[in-house]
Amino acid sequence: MELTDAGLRLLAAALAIGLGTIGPGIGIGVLVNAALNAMGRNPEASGQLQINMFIGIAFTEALGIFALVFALLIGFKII
Amino acid sequence: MKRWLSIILFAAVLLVPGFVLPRFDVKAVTASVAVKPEVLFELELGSFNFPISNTLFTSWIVMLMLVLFAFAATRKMSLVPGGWQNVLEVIIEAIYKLCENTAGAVRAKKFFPVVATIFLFVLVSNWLGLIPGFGPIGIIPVDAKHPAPEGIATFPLSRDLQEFFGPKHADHHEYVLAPFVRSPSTDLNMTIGLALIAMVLTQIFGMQALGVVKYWFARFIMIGKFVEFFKTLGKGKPKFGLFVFGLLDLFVGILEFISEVSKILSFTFRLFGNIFAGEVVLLVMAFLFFAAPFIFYAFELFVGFIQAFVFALLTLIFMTIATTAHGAEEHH
Repeated sequence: MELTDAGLRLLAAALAIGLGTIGPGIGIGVLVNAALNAMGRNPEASGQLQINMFIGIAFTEALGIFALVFALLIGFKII
Repeated sequence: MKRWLSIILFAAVLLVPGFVLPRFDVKAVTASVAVKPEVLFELELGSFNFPISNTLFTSWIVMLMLVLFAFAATRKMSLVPGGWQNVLEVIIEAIYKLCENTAGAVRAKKFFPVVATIFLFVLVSNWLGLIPGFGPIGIIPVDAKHPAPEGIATFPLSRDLQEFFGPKHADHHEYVLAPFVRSPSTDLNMTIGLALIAMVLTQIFGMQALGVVKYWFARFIMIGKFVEFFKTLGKGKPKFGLFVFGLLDLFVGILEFISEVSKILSFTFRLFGNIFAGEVVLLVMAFLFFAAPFIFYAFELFVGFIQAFVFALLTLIFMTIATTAHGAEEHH
């Protein structure tokens, strides 16, 4: 087995997206956990809580999306 | 009865690619994923050639759909809404309520047009890309001026298709498989355009609300503590704590400026990444198992809505923050 340029590129793209989604995954888990707890304690506030939860998810998820974009850039030989 | 007829018609249209296309000698070309939108044709404006890409073309379709919808809904307005007017009123009221809850009644009037436009445009373009036929159908000729992307197979038009299109297209061009219509959200140019509109308007609204000088000095160039330090220095009793906090404030101002710029990037890549990745996932799933895309199709409908909602809501929140005075000066 030999390491070719194309193979290393695949490996780099897979590592970028694989490692890059660990953090956002944990983050979204923590965030939704807290939001669901709050909704369970105070169901009347769930409308506002849901909106805030989605904003938080959007911010957290953006990091994962950055990883995805970099994986795409590496995979399509743009960088 | 009318509804059944339209359902049957729609199903027939969907079946056309399956039954009619195999009669022609259409080459099966390996599916490809392209980040860059394909140029359909070029508009010649004097010496400058304006390329019309498939995503730009689709964004015109989106605009046309929104305009036609608005026209149909407001053509015969009545006090008791019915039909299209009812649908539009529900949507508009929901967005307006959101604006009022977040920004307050006065600012909601100002922010609502921007936020609602962004929401509707992004939502329609996200969902339009999910319609079957967006993506797989289309061929684009390649020549020396517009070479095929690297690693994408080119093929000549088959004889059957040449006869079908008539003598005008009976050329010996090479073609690539590229969609005629493609969701505008899968084009970085569109998403960065929207992000720039949102953030530039945010800055303008902030400067309008607080005044240009106050806005810049309250957010980005925070030298209030320095001024106080030099006042105490002039009195002969310098407070060096103020100097340290002044340095910190300067640094925070620079960070604030960087974060404003990074908001544009994050807007851009969030929308593009989500929708583009969604389409790639649908493509990959279609090659795994024929029924697998159904689940992801439903998920992509959800993601399309959430991304449109998040884009509009974040714009609204950034605008609200920018137009709110910091209040640090009043707390002394």
